[in-house]
Amino acid sequence: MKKSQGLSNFQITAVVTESVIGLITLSIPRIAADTAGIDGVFATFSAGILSAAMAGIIVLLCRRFPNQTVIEFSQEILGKFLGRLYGAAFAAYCLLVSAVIIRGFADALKVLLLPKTPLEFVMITMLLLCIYCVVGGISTIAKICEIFLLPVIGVIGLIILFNVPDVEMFRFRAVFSNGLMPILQGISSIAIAYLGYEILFFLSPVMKNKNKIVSYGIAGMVVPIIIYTSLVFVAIGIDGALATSDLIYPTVQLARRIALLGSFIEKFDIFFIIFWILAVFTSAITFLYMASISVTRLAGLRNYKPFIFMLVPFIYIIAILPQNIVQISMLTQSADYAGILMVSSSVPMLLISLIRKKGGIHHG
Amino acid sequence: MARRMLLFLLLIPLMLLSTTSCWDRLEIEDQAFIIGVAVDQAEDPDKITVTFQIAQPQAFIAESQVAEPFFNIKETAEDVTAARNQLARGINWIPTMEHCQVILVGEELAREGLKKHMDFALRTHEVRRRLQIGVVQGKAGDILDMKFKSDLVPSFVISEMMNQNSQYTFSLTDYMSIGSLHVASVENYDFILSRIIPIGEKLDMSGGAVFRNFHLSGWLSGEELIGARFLRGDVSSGYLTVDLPPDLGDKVMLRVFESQSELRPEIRDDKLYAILDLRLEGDINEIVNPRAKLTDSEFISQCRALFENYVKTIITNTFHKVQREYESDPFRLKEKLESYYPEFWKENADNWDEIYQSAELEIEGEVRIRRIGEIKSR
Repeated sequence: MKKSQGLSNFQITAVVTESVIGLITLSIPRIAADTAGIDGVFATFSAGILSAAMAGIIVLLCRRFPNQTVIEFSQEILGKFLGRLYGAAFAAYCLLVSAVIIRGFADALKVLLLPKTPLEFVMITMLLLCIYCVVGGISTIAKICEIFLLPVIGVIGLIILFNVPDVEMFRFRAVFSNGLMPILQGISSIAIAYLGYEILFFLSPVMKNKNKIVSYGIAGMVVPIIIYTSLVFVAIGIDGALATSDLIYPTVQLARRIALLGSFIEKFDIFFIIFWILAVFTSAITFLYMASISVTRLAGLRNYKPFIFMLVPFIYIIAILPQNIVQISMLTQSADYAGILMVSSSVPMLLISLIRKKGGIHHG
Repeated sequence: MARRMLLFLLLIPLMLLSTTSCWDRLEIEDQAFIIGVAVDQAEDPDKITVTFQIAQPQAFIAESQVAEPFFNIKETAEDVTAARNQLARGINWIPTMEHCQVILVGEELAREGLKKHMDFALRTHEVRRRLQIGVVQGKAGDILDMKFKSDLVPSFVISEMMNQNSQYTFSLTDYMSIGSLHVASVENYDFILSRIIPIGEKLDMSGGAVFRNFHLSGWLSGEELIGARFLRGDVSSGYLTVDLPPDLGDKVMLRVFESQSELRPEIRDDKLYAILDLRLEGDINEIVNPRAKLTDSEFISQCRALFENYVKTIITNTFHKVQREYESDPFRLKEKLESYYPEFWKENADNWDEIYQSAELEIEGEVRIRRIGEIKSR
């Protein structure tokens, strides 16, 4: 008889935080500066608040079905057929995102660190590691997220901290001068940066203390909001909006500016990339976990571990298909739109479940 | 059990393969570390001559046969990357820019414009961000051939001079990093680079090169550069010297250790005013031939007035020279106007040149003299 099964409260927070912070950390200032210009800081913050609200809706929905994942309760809410269709869409989306993460990661690594290493090698080793971790189950994933949380936050925090003195405040005088449009546009395109909290759809059955999922689930969004907003603030404050939107990896540029103790510690970017790999790894494993769980539950089975091995080749094939950055960005964009669709589907789901009186916390 | 053992033994070499990262290994002996680059206009107007300074690390070993710690190679090509590729044909090492300290540009090429030859530094991550860029009066390649008394590598000498001495004296400008060059190229801002003049076996690095649209449009002397640095707000510590009236002595020198300057634009009646808030704080460092029979407070207040007057004069002169003669705006007025008055900027962005030409400078300067050194006589 095992006494403490399931994830602790803090682990829920760590999993959500770590699956949100990932690939996009490298380019978030560009996305913000590109769409919202100088208002990017405010837009990033608002997009974060909006995402936290969405996470809240997801959690409220999940709390009505404390022992089921989205694949099962969607069939209860929407009916057998529609629910299965929805589940299949969810599985496809998770596969797509896993592929996007793996490809984006391998590509960035090729540009920044390993120019001669074959793309395939980087991707395959990463996928093998992900398999190894996901086979260990959700408790392994949660522990990995818990352990990696501090180094990832720490290194991004260092980048922000060392660059803050160079921020030129006069740049932010023109904030809100262009009206509401750039902010709204910015919010819509920055919202994708916060994707990853979909993992909450799957966490309620494995949580130890199920009635705490609302507060600790939403708490997982706090760190990403702070980190992303301050990254955008620092990047725009130093280089200005136009130059930031011209850089492909603005966060790496921020890391390169750092020279500690004269020039005793240079090449801080390498240090940053190493820890950024951890962040990418944790978001890749959560999406791989979601994909394999969805497929398993769709098939009506319980043991998801064999499915991991079956899904990984598909992820690899999707990831290797794009031939250049144009096709990669097409793939990324389709994954982003699908993500927004999937996340916002929780609102109608919650409404339907309330109207049809499905689920709910049973007392007694 | 035996099968498990066998699998385990197979696993070890497999794992070793993945840890060596053998694809991206670089042997340090095979690399030619380029530590300085000088770019000049070649005789063919479409080509440039690039001088690469390559380190000879062997020279630092005590019993080494190699005498000089560096050697220079000149290549003529269409751009810097092509020249670097040509370099690989001539030496048995692979050239790498990773340790490049300084890029020097010849005067002729600077007048032709820098934009064409910058991309190589912005696009790859091979060049470090804190690279220094200087403009040479004359041929840039000559500087790298110089032999210094301190027997060091010219690239190191120059980069250290730019890096350290700009903190020590006002008449050297701070270098321009690759990052700010990128900002300038995206937003089309003007800037000042440091000027290097070769005088025989020596270097003079005071003064600056004023750029407009990435073309060199004129030089600033050391004194004019003091004004430019105050206007740009990039101030640190340094020395200022003024002549004293005959009854007080010959000259007095102020060591400035604290300085603050902020330039902000202001629009009054559709006219642009550049307002400079300047505060200097320092000690009297030297008085040449002191003759004053004054009390401390009288002397300090006289000196304050002299210094305030002097600083205002050089700043105004520099501003007018750069504004009217060189038609350049390295003081970031355009950038600041965009932020301070976004509405005004949207309406008048097209007439920026006229607005800037008619801009007036207003200085609110204050010099505070704290101490007069370790002797009392004056």
